[in-house]
Amino acid sequence: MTLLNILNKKPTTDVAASDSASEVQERFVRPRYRIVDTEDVYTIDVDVPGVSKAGVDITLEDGVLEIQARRSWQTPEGWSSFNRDEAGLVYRLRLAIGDGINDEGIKAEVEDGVLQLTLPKAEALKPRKISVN
Amino acid sequence: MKYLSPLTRRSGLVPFSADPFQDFEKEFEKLFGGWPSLFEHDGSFFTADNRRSAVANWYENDEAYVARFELPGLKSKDIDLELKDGTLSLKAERKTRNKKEKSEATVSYSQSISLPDGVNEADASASYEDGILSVTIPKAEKAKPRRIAIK
Repeated sequence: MTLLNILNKKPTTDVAASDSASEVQERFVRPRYRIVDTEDVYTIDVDVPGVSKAGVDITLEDGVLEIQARRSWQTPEGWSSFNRDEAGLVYRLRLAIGDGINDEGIKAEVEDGVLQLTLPKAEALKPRKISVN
Repeated sequence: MKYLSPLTRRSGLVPFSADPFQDFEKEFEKLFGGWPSLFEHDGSFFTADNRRSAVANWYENDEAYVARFELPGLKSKDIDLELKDGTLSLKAERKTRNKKEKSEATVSYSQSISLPDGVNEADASASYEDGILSVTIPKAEKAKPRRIAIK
């Protein structure tokens, strides 16, 4: 279980790093994901096999949550792939979350190739009990 | 599209991507590339069937064949791997970590793959990390490339 930092701005350093590393072309794939809606939070499980903590970027801009998860795999020298080479594979998922989420409280962790996001609901969305006098 | 492309070297021996929907999903994503709303649906509406084949990426080097299976959300004890008579069998059950009891689901992976001739089954090894099961099957001596000196 590792806790991730949620950035509100796009990191620029990563882009530069991948430029210099690369003849490897990035391919974007939409991951499978599941959303569970509970009283206080939305929990999103995103399948990102082959991705470790370092490979995950999460940004939130204009009400759109963007998740990018890069595989760390690099095909070793002397290896050839004979169906698909997974080098450069990036899982990308964008979710429109609008105003319904308390941005500050978003949490993410990666374990066994699953990225689990916890998005606390904004106060306005939570069910409220109103007592009757 | 991959069915139209020229055969790769090993295509007769090892199956292509085991997930027939993968390309389809990609195409679908291209067509309806909008961003799904968090509030509308989850990403599994094409995959209501809970039996799947794990996508495998196959590699080869001089010494071995390596298969990397995508199996997110498992523990190594949940994976059952068997290699017998030239066939690699993989079985795994995944409980999705949903918090609502009623939406908890099990996804079963099951597949058998015929291996090429000339592998050393006894020395196969496997490891699981970050949701990827990596199986290494060494080549038998006779299947390794050999340099022949010219006298």
